Amino acid sequence: MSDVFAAVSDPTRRAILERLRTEGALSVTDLAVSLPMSRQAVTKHLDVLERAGLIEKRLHGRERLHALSGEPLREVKDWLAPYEAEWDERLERLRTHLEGDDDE
Amino acid sequence: MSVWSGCARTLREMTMSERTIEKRVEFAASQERVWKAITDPAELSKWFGHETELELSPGSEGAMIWKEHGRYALKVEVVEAPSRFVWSWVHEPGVAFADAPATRVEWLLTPNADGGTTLVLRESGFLTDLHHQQNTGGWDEELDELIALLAG
Repeated sequence: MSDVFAAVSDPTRRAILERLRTEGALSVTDLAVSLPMSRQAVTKHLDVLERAGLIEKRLHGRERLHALSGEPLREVKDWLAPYEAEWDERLERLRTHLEGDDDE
Repeated sequence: MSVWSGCARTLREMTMSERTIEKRVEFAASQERVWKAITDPAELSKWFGHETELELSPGSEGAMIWKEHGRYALKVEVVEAPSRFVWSWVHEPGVAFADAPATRVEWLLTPNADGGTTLVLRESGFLTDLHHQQNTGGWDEELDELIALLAG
């Protein structure tokens, strides 16, 4: 999971993910058009995203396309669940505490 | 695509460099009563931690203490009695406030027509927190790339 956070901590890589999310599978050339950098630099960012499991490569005819892979982001979402559960418990204890006023 | 509806939301939240937990709860107790329960150290020690070090002045540092987990440093940010209370705290026990990444906890109280109170609780800054922890990994990777570049 640390790979995922390292991967999305970079604004260029977030921009790439956002384009893949809105436009679907794209080639390096497609992606390089909207980014102020060389195709080689874009490829390096794509490698980081692929190592983190955020995107996957697929062959479409002779073209290599890059598409989003959803699973790691779902892990990120799940990561917060324990913190949320802690708040549910605390707020339930607060409720019990406030209701206990009648007995005091 | 259904997988993505949830993930796309996560991605947007990441782009904002922040992930927030939000809880809304209604209590039968009055706003003044709930305010006391969430700001008075003696009250907090009955339902939040086992011990509470807290002064109601912005900028002051304190802590929430649990017997089994340890001391979690906090810093009071906003005190607007009886409606808004904000503190930041660290998620690592036993360290000073300045030495660890913190998340922000905001308590908002509004009176209800029936005499009760609505509490909205928000905890934000998780991804920033996590970024901090993950920074080392990120830099290692970039250093590796630099080393590979220089070697090539």
